[in-house]
Amino acid sequence: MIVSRRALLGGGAGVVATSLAPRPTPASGRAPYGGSIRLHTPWPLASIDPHRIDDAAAALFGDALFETLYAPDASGAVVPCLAEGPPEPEGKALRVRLRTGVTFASGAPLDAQAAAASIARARSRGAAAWLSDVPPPRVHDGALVFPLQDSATLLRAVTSPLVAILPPRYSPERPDGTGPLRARLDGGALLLVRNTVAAGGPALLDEVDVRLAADLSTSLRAFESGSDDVGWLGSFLHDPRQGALAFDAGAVAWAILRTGREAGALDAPGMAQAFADAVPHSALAPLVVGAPWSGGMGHWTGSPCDLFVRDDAPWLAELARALAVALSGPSHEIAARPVPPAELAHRRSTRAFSVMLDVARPAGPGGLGTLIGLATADDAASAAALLRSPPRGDVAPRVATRTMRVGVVGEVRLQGGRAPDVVLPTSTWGRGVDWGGAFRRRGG
Amino acid sequence: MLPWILLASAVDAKGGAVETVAAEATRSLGGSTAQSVVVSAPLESDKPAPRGDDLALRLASRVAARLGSLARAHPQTAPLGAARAIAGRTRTLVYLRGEVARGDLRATVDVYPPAANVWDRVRDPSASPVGHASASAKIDAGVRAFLTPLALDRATVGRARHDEGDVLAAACGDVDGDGRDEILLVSRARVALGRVAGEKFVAERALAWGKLATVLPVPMREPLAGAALSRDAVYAGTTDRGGVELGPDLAFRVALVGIPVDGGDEAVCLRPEPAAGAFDGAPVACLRAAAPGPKMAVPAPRFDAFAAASLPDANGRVRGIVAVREPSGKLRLKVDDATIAPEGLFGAQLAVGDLDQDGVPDIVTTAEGTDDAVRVLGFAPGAAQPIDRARLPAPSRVHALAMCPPDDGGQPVLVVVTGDEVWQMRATPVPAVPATPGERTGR
Repeated sequence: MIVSRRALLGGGAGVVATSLAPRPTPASGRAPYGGSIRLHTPWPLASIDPHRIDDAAAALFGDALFETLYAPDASGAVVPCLAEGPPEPEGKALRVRLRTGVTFASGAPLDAQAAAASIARARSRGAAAWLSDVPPPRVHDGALVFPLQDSATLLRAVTSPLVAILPPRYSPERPDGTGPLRARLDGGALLLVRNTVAAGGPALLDEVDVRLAADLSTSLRAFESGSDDVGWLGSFLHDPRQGALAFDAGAVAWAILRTGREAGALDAPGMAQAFADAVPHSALAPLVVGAPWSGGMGHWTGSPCDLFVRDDAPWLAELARALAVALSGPSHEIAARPVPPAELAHRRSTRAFSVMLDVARPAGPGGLGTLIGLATADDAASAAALLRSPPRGDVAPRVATRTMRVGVVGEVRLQGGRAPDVVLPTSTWGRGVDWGGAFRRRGG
Repeated sequence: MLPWILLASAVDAKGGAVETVAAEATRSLGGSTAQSVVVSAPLESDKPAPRGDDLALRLASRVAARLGSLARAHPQTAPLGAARAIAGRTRTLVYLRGEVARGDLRATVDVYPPAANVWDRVRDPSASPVGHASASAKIDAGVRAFLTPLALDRATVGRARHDEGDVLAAACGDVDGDGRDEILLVSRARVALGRVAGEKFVAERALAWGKLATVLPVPMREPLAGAALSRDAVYAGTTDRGGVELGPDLAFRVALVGIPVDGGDEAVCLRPEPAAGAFDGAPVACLRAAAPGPKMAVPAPRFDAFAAASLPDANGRVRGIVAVREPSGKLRLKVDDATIAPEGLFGAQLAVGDLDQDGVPDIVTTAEGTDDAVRVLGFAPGAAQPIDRARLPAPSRVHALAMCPPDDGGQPVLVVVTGDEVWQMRATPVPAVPATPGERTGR
């Protein structure tokens, strides 16, 4: 069953509009340890790869599993995380010492070799552009030695979830990290269990049980009935749950429209965003895609075509259907066409499509991370050039893509309803939930 | 049943200030004092002492007891000349001068040999003593019983700002032996030792944690910390970095086996359990070379706040108090061998002391909930549960509590770190009660 837009909108509107405090601990107490949270999500959970620019599961739950060499603290200042201290100048290089004794959840030790290999892996995937101005480090005397002198550049680069430190031979199907929770993937479910050797401290919750929702109503129904503790994008399907509260951890990624070579003349920079902007916000609002944008009332002007979308992501598939309806015009129909992820990846790499609905994550914190993330999703080489000469000031995502073959359709948001005793702090990244700091209030 | 009454007869081998001063003074006295008479001079005091001479006589009796069964204490205070006459020809005079000054009970003891006869005393009225000793101890309930009482419900609070950020733990004491208490503030970033000067906490010495210890492989998500001060040593620790012993100049001495806290008589260490967000088990000795095993029993196996003290009552009997807060927010107390489970939930800060020196321990904690406050719990006769004795609302979160030894005024000080302020809370002396006939006051 597919939830109606009205119902989903009703669910969203049923949430009290409050945002989260960064660390809502009791006045003089401490956040309680223990308990669990259960939720459904309309995103695939079969694998998690934080180095992929299009991995929605990593965008949603990567904070729970992985750490970086440096990370923002609660005040936003960048502080050592897996690194022992700030980068130390060493001739014309910067030395980064790693904390001693840290292990991954699997028990594998974190050392400089593992960190260097992980950075190389990130560079070979979604962080190619983001790391383009940071040469690969060498390992010397148990530390990473980066051949550059600008510590600000280094910190900017390695303070990105896209450069999370993974163990050697990392398998996305068997996630392993140093984060507050460790993952068990089991038949489309993601069980996040407290990691007792977490480098930043074990999670407050015993576990977070995430199930794949086959459609958008599953989560709302489960939350409404009380079997789930978190409602995805809303808090009820039919009747409000008593005492339910809202949470809004913001946009963790973007749904992007790609144009491919089969679009002919429409496969030009800026066209994807123009079509995305042509879709009225009201057409997509039930899917909670973020703030309204200007524009609307435009249509696809190319030949009838398929809008390719991965078939294992119910939210994205629903968005594709809404997008296809909104963009279609007489003789210019677009039909949403769900395909397996592997086929989607093949078409993306060969550009064998007219239009495709995909996901892009930010490459790093702040406006630059947004810009480079979207640019990387478009073309890694161009993104690297953009990193070398970024525009001044922060550029809105929908503006940043005006020179790209991708356009922002809407935000992938982590928001909805929560049980009254569930506390979901925002991540220090400014995006997403700090799953390690999530807890259940006493007496809930 | 009220444990407090049950325990009132339990006499600890340790004593209060009077016993400590008597023991210290006689220990260093030496010589032939077994067959002696102990005579006390009238007590001198820099604070009103309605029963000052009673205190002097009590001190004399404890000194006599320490000197042996043949020694006796004279039942009245007397000047030296009269005391020598009292000692007479057969007894050694142990002349005791007691003083209450700057928060201390002090005693000096002079030993005079027996005078052969009255003519000896006439010929040499200022004969030199053949033995001398002195001792001092901080005022406690056993001394306060002879001085002006303190009223907790009329406590004064001094407020000073600090720049230490989110403080996790605090301690108070005279670490450098200059007679003034220092305050130790431990944050996630650094360790700062200083004093309140006017309306500001001035960190006289500070050291970043990065220069003291590396980050532990598995810290706690919400850090816990501990702090303790002793003469010539500073103890600090967080669950981020572990515990360290430092010198008064904050020079690193040694890494500790856990997070140091004041165990009442010495610094002890707690073992953090990061996966539980709490400390696990009884305190242990802080040094790796020390004998393993618990240093004391705790009233709950797992807790996130701890305080302990050895407190004398008005008779000088010392009790061991251990208070912990379980992660659930419940408070558990251990008074000697009895355990008490106060009803309700409490905040995550704890201190134990005797703020009004009435001989009954005060459990200082914080409020559980959205409005923070400092709560002082005490024991009332006949009550099975501790009662609220004082409540001090705090506009910001209370980050740490610490008890200071009695200050120059003889009043214990409660340090409260709340927001960016350090508060110093003192019980207030109640107006002097008119002396009854026969009572003599001190200076």
